Amino acid sequence: MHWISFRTGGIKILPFAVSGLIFGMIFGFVGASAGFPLRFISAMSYIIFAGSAQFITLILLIENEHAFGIMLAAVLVNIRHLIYGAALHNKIKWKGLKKLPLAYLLTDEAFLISTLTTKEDQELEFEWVLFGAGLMLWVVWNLATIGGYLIEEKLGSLISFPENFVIVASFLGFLIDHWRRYPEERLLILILSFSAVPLGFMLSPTWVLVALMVLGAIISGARERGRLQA
Amino acid sequence: MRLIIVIGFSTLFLRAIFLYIEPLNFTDPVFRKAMEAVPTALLVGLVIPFLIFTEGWLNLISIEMLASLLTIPFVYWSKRPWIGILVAFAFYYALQIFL
Repeated sequence: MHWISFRTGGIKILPFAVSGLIFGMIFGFVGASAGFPLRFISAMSYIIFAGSAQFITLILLIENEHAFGIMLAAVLVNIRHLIYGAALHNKIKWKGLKKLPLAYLLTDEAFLISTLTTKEDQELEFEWVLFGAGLMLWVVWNLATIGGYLIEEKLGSLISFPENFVIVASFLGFLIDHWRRYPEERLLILILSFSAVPLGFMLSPTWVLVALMVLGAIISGARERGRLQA
Repeated sequence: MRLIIVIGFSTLFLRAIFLYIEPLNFTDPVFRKAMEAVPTALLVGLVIPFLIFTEGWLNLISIEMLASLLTIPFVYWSKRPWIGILVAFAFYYALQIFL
């Protein structure tokens, strides 16, 4: 079952790996065009391994921001990982140091794939699904970073990507499928979608994402409290 | 390079802390239900804000919006979420050519 779960995670994350491939290439591309050496840009991908934090770090480095400010921004963007950890605490049965590789590979995409996949097929082992999904994304992300860097060196600024739409297109299918599959969550999806409008005027899309996760948790918790009291 | 290592360790810390230490009130069913809503909220958060806002401005009439709306029936009836990325990009580039 280990291998089946590991393989399932690796296969199920492939659609996200396409977006990882594009974003990894954009990251390498931007790093190269800003004049950073390949070993530095590549190290960001294999040490940090968190897309949004890497992009913010890179942009602030290009803007010559102070190191403390860069660290603070990266930590704030990554705060959402606390919620993932809390959500997965009871799902992960591995003990001690075995949890560390899972934590290292715990990206947005791996979190989504492992929770949604094991919700559909409860015989799969959660830890191995997460490990397979995370490892596949890690390999794609790191190769794409190097690829994007080398492409920029050869082709300069001839290529452009619609960055925001890459994110939307990557996750849109999963949102529609989630709507179709779980009717009980449709109200929550609608409330969060409408809430994104006022939030979007005040916050950047990354912070709207964090705010929606907190709001979703509060609404769902409040509904459960009301159900228990009724 | 030291900055990258510090950010890398802080990221790992944020990801790992609640895998090791049980968050307070985790046995509370209300808290559990709240945490179960996180993946759904994440999906919404990765689509809606990036779709409707362009550089801080609300933009409901765009090629991105039209391509996304056209993608919905393809995913809904095919029941294959990964088709979304292919169809969305096909519509996006087709609309850029024709509009």
